[in-house]
Amino acid sequence: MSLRACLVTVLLVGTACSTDYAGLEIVADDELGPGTVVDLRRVQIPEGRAIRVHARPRSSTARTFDDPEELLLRAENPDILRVFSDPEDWRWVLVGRATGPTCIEVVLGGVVEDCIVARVTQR
Amino acid sequence: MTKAPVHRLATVLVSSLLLFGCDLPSDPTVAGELNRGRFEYLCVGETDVSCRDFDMASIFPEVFAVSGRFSVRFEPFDGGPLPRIEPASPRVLSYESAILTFEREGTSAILAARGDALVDYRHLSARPIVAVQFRNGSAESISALVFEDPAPLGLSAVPLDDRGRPLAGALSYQWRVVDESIARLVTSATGREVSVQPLSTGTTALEVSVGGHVELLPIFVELPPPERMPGDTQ
Repeated sequence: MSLRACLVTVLLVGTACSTDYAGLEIVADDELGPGTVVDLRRVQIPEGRAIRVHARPRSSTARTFDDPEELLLRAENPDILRVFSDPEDWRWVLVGRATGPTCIEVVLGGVVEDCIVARVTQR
Repeated sequence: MTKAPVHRLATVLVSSLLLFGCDLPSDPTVAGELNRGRFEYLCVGETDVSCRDFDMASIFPEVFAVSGRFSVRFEPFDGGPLPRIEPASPRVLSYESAILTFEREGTSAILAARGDALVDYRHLSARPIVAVQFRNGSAESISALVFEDPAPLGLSAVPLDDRGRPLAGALSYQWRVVDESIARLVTSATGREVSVQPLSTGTTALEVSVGGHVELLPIFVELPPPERMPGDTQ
C-alpha cells in the first residue's frame, strides 16, 4: 500500500469514528399553546412564555453525541430570547423576552455549528 | 339523590365548618410548573384584594390587574440556595426593588433562576379592570349607599375583570364624593376601603378611580329632622 492510500484509509476510519453535526433534534416538553412552534427548523414562542425543550444534536456518522456538557444553546440576541440550561441532561428552557427575530446558536465543543431561526411574537 | 347520601353530605359540611370555622385554610403558595419548588405570594400593600392584612395573602392569585403590584419568593425542594426571581418579559411584567408590576394585559412567566440555569417557572396573567364591586362591612355586594341616620358607613372596592374575577395586586385608588354637601369621606381617599359620612338629605354618588377604570356608587341620604330642644322658637 502506498503512503497516500494509507493516509486516505486512516482519514476514512477516523471520520467514521467521530461525530459529525447534522442538525438539532428539538422537542417541547410542555404542551404547545397557539402561535408556538418548536421544531428543528424554527422556534416561535409568544412574549412572556417559558417552554422547556429536549434538544440533542444529530450525528451524520454512526457515533452519537453522548456528552451533554458538550452542547451549549444560546440566543444570538438574549434581549429577545433567553435560553436557560436545565438541571436535566439535554434539557433547556426557552423564554420569550421581547418581540422580534433572532436565532438559537448551537455550540458544540466551543464551535458554533448552527443557528436555528427563532422569533418571539406578541401573543 | 337519596336521603342517606344527603344526610352524609350535610354531616361532612357541618363537620368541616366546625373544624375550620368560617375561615378556610389559607395557602399563599403554588408549585412551579417544573415542580422543583413553590412560589410564595407576598403582598406589597393593603390595597391588594388578595391580602387580608398588610402582608398576609390567603391564596396565590390566578389573575392580576394591569398595574397590579406584588412580590414573590421561591422555596426550592432541593434545599439549595434561594434562586433569584425575574420576569420572563419585563415589558409585560416589570421587576424593580423586588416588586413585580404588570405593565400591560398579557401573560408572563416568573422565573426562579440560579446563574444561567433555570430552577422553575410559573405563568401569570393580567387583565384590565372593567368593573368595581362595592362591598359593605359584612363583605356583601352593594349597589348603593343608603343612609337613614348620621352614622358613617364603611365599604371596600374589589376590582373585577370581564369574567367577574377579582384581580390581584396592590393598586392605586382615588375616591371622592361628587357632591360634598350631601356626604363626605372620613378616611383616606387612596385606600381600598373608605368610610362615608352623610351630611344632609339628598342624592349624590361615590366615585372610585382605579387602574384606569372609574366606577360610581349612588348615595341616598334621608336624615331625620333634628330634634327640637325646649325653648326653640321655630
